[in-house]
Amino acid sequence: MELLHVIATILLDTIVVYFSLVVKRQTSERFWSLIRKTFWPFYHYVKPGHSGILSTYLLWAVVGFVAIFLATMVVLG
Amino acid sequence: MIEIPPIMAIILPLFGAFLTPIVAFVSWRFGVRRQVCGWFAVAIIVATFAIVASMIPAVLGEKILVYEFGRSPPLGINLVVDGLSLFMALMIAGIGSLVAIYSITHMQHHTRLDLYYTLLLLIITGMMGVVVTGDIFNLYVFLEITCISAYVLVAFERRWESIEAGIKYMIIGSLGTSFILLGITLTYGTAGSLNIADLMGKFAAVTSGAEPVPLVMVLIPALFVAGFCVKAAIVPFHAWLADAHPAAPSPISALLSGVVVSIGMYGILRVVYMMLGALTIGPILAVLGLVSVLVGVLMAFGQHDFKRMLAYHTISQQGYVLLGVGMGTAIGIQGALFHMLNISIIQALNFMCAGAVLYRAKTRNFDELGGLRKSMPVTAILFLVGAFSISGTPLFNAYASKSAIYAASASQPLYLAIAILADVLTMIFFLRAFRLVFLGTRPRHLLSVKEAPMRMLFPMCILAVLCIVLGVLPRLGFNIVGTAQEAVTNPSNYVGRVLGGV
Amino acid sequence: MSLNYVVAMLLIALGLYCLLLKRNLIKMVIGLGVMTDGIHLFLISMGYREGGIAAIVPAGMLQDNVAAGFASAAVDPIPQALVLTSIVINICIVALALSMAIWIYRHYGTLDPSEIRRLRE
Repeated sequence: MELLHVIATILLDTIVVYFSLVVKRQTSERFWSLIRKTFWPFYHYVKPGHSGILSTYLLWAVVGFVAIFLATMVVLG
Repeated sequence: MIEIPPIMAIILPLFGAFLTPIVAFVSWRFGVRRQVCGWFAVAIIVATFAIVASMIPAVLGEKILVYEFGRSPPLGINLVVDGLSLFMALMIAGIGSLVAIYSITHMQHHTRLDLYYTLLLLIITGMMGVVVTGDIFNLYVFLEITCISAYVLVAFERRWESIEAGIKYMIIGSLGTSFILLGITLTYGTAGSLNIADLMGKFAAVTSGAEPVPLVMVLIPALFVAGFCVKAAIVPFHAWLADAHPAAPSPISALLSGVVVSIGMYGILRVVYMMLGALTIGPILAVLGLVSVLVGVLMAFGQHDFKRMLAYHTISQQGYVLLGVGMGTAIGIQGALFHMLNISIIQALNFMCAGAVLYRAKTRNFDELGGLRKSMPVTAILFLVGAFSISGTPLFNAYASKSAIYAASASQPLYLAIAILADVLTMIFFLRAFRLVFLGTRPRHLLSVKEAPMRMLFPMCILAVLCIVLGVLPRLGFNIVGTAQEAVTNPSNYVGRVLGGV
Repeated sequence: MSLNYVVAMLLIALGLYCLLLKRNLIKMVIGLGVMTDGIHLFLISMGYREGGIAAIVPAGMLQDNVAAGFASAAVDPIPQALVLTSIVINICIVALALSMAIWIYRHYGTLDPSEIRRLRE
């Protein structure tokens, strides 16, 4: 299990290093804009949601607390 | 001279903070160079590290040090140093001293340096107080000392960016500490005591019982989790971090990203995990951690600012720590503690590299940087070490801790898949940053950039060496956190020592 | 004495409403102050005892050595100490927030949080 993890990590890391550092700039930019396309819901809704307005951030904090409270009530019975 | 180390670890930086303006004034009257208060601060923090290190033999020998103010517990306030406290105190004092050495060179062109070093010593005092205290209201007081010093340090340069980041940090942070204060209020009303060891005994019966718990016992963990997650920058309480850490001066960014954020995680471990016996809300913590991992890594993608990208990675890695804590098994806690140590070292290294680039090239924007590897080769290599470390490459330190967290979360394959995906994405984004800053062609306005000064490279080299040493010898890392993990999973030792007395 | 607790909860709710929904930094700081005052009122009310005396030992009691009944008659002094500490910390925070609001007005010309958003995403 450990050996498999090491081999898989080294393989993935070499692929990533190759595409980031060795390949030409235009090719790697095209490849990595695939990431933007796969995670499109995130980049369309969540990223612009960080709008910089302080009141929105405070609202997130209170809604987060209410969510944690309801989840704790469900878990602890 | 008081010879008990826990109280000295708090008093020494506190008195140092009060003496720093006097030292600065005296040195100004006698016409000495301006940096005397800087070296004074470095001396104080290194002395604090020596005091904390002197407690290592006692605590490793399974003894827990207790220092009492006045009456014995549970009536008085006491300071308790067990494995977890010693581990965090070593982290704070170590990274604090390296940051102080770094800031002597980096901040030398600023005015009001006596204010800066006073605040640096105060923030170290506050953090020492948080990890060493055994009384929950004392924890709140020292947490406020830490946070107020952090708010002022973020807004230190008084540009528009620093002030906006400072006020956002302050308002969101104050909401967090209000949650913690309300939690302490309800705890006192329910249990009648403020001593953490006493509360552990009183709450142990409630949360492990089979009958449904009263409403207040649901409210207390929720308030504490929400309050400490604001300090630890877990999604959805994370919005202040991406503004505050870039806007602070670079040595303070390194300190904030490394250690101050870990204070929130220490609060979750000590109060929620140990005191409330909250093994049953582990899944909630694991889900919060997982969401932080994903949101942190994905938000880091479209950033044009070097330090802002690093700040989002702090959110992501703290999510890994919370994932390990939430899983609840011994290997999970061990991985989480080791990962906390690792990311404090790695993020301090990364922010110091970004600070070195900022110091020489005067810009943080990726669009204006490029091709710096010929004139800043040492900084480039150190940033490469940081980039490979944070993404969990074998032979660097985060590999062992991330493996432990993966092993702990292997019981839920969805968590494992998302954690590994975020790991790969972290490496992608860091190497992209390395390529944008250091490889490529150099723009014309950066032609005269030189290497960072030797005194700035020295703490960065120490951190990089620590990265590689902990990576090549992961046994050493797990031995370091072994006592801390023992302390977290067996709170009965803590309770017996504090209340029983020896 | 549940009136105390009801009013404390109302103050906390009111402070939270001010903090979240008002469009002026000074009003948000006032909301923060009201919310922490609500928490302080909650904490103090927890130490109250019906018909209790203040937790100060009168001079006569020590001489007559009748201090045994004192502990069961006095209100709890610990929440009072906690609230004093918390009020002092709160003064510090409000002073710092107001001085930062002054600097924001100098840099941005407005105190509206929806206009103070040059740092976004």
